[in-house]
Amino acid sequence: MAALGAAFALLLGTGIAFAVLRFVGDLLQPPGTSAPQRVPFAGGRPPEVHAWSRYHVRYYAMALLFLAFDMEMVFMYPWAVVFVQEGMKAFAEMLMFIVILVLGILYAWREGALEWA
Amino acid sequence: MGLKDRLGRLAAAAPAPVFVLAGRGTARLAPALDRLALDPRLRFVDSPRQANVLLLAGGAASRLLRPALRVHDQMSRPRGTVWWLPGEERSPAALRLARTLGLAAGDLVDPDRPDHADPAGGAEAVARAIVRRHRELVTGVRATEPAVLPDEEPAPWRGVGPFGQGGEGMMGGVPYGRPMAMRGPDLSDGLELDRLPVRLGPFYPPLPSGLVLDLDLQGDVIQAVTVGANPFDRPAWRGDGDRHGRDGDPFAAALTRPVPLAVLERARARHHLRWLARVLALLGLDALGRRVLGLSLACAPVTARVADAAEGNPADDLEPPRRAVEDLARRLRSRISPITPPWGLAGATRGVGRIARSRLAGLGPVARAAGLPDDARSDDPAYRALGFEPIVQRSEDAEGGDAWTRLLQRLDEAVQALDLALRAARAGDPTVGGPGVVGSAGRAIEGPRGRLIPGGDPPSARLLALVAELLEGLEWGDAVIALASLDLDLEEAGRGPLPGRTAGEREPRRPTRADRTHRSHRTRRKGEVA
Repeated sequence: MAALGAAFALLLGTGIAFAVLRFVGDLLQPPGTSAPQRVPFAGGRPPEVHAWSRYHVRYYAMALLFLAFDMEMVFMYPWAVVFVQEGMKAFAEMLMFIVILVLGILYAWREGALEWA
Repeated sequence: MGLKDRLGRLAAAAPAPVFVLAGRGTARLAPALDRLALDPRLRFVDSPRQANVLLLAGGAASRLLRPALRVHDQMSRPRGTVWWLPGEERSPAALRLARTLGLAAGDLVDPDRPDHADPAGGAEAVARAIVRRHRELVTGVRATEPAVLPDEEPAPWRGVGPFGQGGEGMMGGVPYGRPMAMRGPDLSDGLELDRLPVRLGPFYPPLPSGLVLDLDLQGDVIQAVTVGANPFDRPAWRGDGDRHGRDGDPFAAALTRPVPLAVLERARARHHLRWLARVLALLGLDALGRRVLGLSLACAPVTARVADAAEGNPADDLEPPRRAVEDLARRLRSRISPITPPWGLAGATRGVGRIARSRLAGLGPVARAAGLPDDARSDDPAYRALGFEPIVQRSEDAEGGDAWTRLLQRLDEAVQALDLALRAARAGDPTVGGPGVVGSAGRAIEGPRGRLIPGGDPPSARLLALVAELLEGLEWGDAVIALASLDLDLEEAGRGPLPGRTAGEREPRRPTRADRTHRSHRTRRKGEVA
């Protein structure tokens, strides 16, 4: 019950902080901006197209690789638990697994798959 | 004293944030502008939003008027304007603009007026005017300048749906009065996402002043480039070429009259160091850039002193900057230098902005950085007598040249130019150039951007023609560096043919078809470039 009360107090505190910050933010806001001030500065000409667009993140191949290796770490947790019991055999198995993945990376690197421009 | 007053006085004591808009005729103001950039009372900022004072430098070219007004309106309040207006640019249009902005007499500084002139080329008068304007604004003595352009959206909000997206997925609709980017093919990986048209310039600080670029971006890769009309363009038949030598550019002057070699070489060293300061600032090495800018001022031609050789060796003052520049060149080259780790300056510029060697003839440092020994000074007897040899970058990287080799090349040439100026002082101060009859081989002057041929196009015009092809397919950061590495001067390009006529030519050259087409042309797709 005490935990529930604490959570409630936290929620209430957050809500009050949010409201106060909004209020202070409105107070500090500079007096109204004009239409030219609302567009980004790009050297004195107005943009012809709204900047609301799908941005091409060209490092997506790198991002996917990072995810793959991040997930590989998950496999290493159960392995780490039995590593001491299994000894050298477990070490060799994990080494083979990682070497295969690293060979894949080196191949992709050589093929230029990691260059994003 | 109220809290507001106290805060206002604190703000007034801080360096005044200034945004500079360069108009017509700024080449003349350049030395003074550099002094302002180094002035501790001022802080040059990269966006009008950070600035309190807008410094208009030079005359109002008609194509720059509206962009200038928009930048003015984009400044946050309080805002004020100081206009550094040379007497010759004081046109009725300029005075109308001054009235529109509500400028007082004290906000107009004229470098030609005796009470505004000072040894720093008018920099002191401008700095004082800016600081005064800044203090008046933040202490509330003078009201902020009102907006000039109407406060209205380009089109009314017409979006449908919760986000005004038009109700057809992500496409269509005009959120905040502007259409949305549409999908289009991609140059590098073929993944079709939105192609965002971006309109940059003419006052976008990372670009050369006056350059107008319309880009199509996907992510940060440039898909298509259109170089807009040069705002400084003047019709060639008006014979504006005579302006080339008038704004204190000794290289163009040497086409029509003899100029001391030492003056040319000092100006060359200063030009290259000024360029280097700008590139270093673009790469984020601001402090180093300021130091190099200071060095560039130390190389400035002191015409009167050079002419008066009786005073003793007039080049005495060149030895310290020469040593400093040489030291800088050595440090930039050494791999273990703290200012240039491989991932720093060299990494950001290596392999960026390659141009095929065949396109570089006569383009001075850009050509020599690509390994071409192309230098008009090699044919000049005055230079040969001083033992001149063109410097050329020779490394495997120099195939076509990149921003890094251009940087090293200009640095080496700055050292060489100072050396030549020192040697010229000992060799009786020879002169270069003059109105000699020019044959087909051409007696040309080597300017800091390339070969100046009497009656020919200035090098900037030839460099400008390379821009669209150069930028296509580059990432945005590389594109900025590649552009800077060319050292463009739109005003020089816009002035048309250089002065001095060839033997067979009587009239100033009429504009050719090529003049008109290179201005706003759209290049072919990547890979189709000849």
